[in-house]
Amino acid sequence: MIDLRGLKSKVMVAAISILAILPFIPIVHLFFTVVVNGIYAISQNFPGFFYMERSIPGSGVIGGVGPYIIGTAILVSIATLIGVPLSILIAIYASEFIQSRLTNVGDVIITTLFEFPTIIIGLMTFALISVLNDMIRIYLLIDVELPKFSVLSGSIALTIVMLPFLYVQIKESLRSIPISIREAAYSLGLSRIKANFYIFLVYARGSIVTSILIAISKIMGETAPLLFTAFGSDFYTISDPGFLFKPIGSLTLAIYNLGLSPYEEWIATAWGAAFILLLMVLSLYIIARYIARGAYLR
Amino acid sequence: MITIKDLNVWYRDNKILDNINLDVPRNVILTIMGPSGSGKSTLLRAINRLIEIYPGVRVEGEIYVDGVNVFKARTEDVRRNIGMVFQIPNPIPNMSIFDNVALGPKLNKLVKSESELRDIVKWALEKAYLWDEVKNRLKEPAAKLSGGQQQRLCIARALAMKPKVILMDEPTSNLDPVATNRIEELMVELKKIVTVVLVTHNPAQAARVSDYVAFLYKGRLVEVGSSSQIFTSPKNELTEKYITGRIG
Repeated sequence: MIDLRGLKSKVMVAAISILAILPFIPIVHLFFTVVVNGIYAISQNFPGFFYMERSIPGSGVIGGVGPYIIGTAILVSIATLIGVPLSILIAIYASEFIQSRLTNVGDVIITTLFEFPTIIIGLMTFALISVLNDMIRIYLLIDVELPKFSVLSGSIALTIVMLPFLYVQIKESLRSIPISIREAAYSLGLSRIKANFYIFLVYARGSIVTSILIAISKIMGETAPLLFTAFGSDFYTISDPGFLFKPIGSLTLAIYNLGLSPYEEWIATAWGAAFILLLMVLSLYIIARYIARGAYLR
Repeated sequence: MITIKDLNVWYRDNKILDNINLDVPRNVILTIMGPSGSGKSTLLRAINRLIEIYPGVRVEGEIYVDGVNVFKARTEDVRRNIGMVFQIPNPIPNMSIFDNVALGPKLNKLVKSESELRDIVKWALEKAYLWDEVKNRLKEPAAKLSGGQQQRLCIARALAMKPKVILMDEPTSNLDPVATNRIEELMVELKKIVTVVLVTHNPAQAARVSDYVAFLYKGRLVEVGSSSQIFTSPKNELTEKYITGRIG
């Protein structure tokens, strides 16, 4: 007798197992390609790879990604400094005034922004600054030009990418605070503002810190919003006092620009940059997961 | 100390409390007892206006605490003078034991210096019979305490505001008998410094601790009297049925 049912079960289990493993193949492949090529590139010029500028093509020497690391750090820091307080304030408003019209309208706008292609957010920032320039010229009659390609516009674009994600996450953390904690805060005679800042944010700090770290790792890997804003630069600009108003490079822009170049040295540099970026994003993500686990255990 | 005059409370279209009139003298324990859904917690939350954080609630009437009409005063001031302890122990779990007690005095700027704050925290924890158990672990998060300890921490948190009144909403319903016993002893001790208004659905607890008892049934105040009178010779048939366990 052939055990038909047992056979059918085995075939199905095998099929499902293969299908379950299948999606991992590209991820693992991608990961290892980046790791192998990245480490190879970095080892060619270690530790100079981390602080030098890119090399001259055809020289056979692999340069470094110093300016790009600094650029990413500056862009992400400024975006975080603007984006985190802003989204906390908006989220507090939305969690306190659930039924207000402003909350409803704002919620729709911000969550729509969440779905926006990030390249359009870059274009939007570019357009916004152009419009601002026109307004300054026409209404204030001052001949000042806000730089379209600059650290500031890049940071603003990243802030806009970060804001909807953080807003949704923080709003949910605040709204899920149990009523017993709300009663505890208000029974002490605290105003809404104090209750939110000193109690509710503290209560939800684990999940809020986690969302902030994930948001940072998200904008760290953004390229599209920077194309029209930060624009990119291959050299150290921070020694220039006006560097905030000048274009700046980033790891992602470097991967995009150098990776598409025909020069072997630059392509290798792009692999190294990709590896460093991957390492930064992954470590942030792991820290975030770790904190999140602690937050649920508390 | 507390005078409630013609208090009516609605939640949307439902009348929760119907024309409540009640007087609570100073430094006593008054227990509001009644079956679930009779409006005990609502009455308690009307006294410190905590009811107003719930949307859809409408209140009419007057409540005087220490001569002040609470509905004419600022909510923050009202709640500062009236401490509250809840059914589920609700310390801020990821805040330290010290910070939980220090919250009220610190955020309401009732203290001028760090040392004054430390003194108040120590005093409140001592009054709540918790100091000896936590004095060496004040920096630990409050979540590490047991349920009974957390409830005493909440009592200390309320006491640290130096209130004149403490409202307790079934403070022992989630605790084991030993912890319950400690809280009950504590309440009797506390009435030396504050007026306690206790809500319970447990007539035995009401009999053990209270000086005065008010019996609430379906939003109406059925009977108020001294504890001995209510439990030995209730005037109302409903009260008798409730304390003998036939309703509720």
